Amino acid sequence: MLVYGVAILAGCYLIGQIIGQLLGRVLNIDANVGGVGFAMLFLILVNQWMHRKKWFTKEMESGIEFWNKMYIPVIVAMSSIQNVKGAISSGMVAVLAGIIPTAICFFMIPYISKLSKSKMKD
Amino acid sequence: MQYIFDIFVKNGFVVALLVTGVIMYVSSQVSEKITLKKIPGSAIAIIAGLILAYIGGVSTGGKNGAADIVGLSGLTILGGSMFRDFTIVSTAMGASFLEIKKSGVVGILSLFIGFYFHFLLVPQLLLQWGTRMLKVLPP
Repeated sequence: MLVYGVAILAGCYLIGQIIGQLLGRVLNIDANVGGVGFAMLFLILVNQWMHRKKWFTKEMESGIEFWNKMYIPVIVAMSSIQNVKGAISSGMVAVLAGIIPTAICFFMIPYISKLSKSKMKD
Repeated sequence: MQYIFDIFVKNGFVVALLVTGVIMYVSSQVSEKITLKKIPGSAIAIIAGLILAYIGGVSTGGKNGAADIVGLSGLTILGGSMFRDFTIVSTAMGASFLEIKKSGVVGILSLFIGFYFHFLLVPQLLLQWGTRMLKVLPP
């Protein structure tokens, strides 16, 4: 059943959210700390565990695959509800806050990848 | 005419799926035919979404971009934090611990470098430069 796969994804998501919220409470931050990360970790673990037990069917996988492929469309929908007018009209600062760090990170890619290559040789 | 808008408003989420699909299709065509796949279709689609959000903001004076346009309010559901996080989690499906282990220290280092520049250093500098950015951030 396709929906079993979706349900596993939903379960991992919710458990991750709960742990993230708990972590936020412990750290005294009114926010979800790493909820998505925990959920991903759970999904990987559950996935591997169920594969080993041979419980994971092809159809269940395609249920998760669907949401996997919906990621970019969701981001496109997200970009279309941003307050772009507000960001542009509040001056260049908001635009620069996006462009500068992205440019810095972009130019660091060759150095970081060099680092990983030299590591692999070891 | 009014009853057509009513249907759009009532089925906002479905309209959002259609609109997003159309944006994706047009963008992939632009990517293929005009930029000869030099720029990926998804990147063009995101920029198209931002342009749509700008149009929505200018034409309605609202804060929610294109979602303030009548009939497109469903975009707040599809583009909201729930679906965003849900789909991100689903991308972990293909990942395996072996591959993550391979990236090792360098992978974690690059994660922290990205975090440092995007959330700590550059925003700090810009905040000192001009505090107008505060207006953009949600309260």
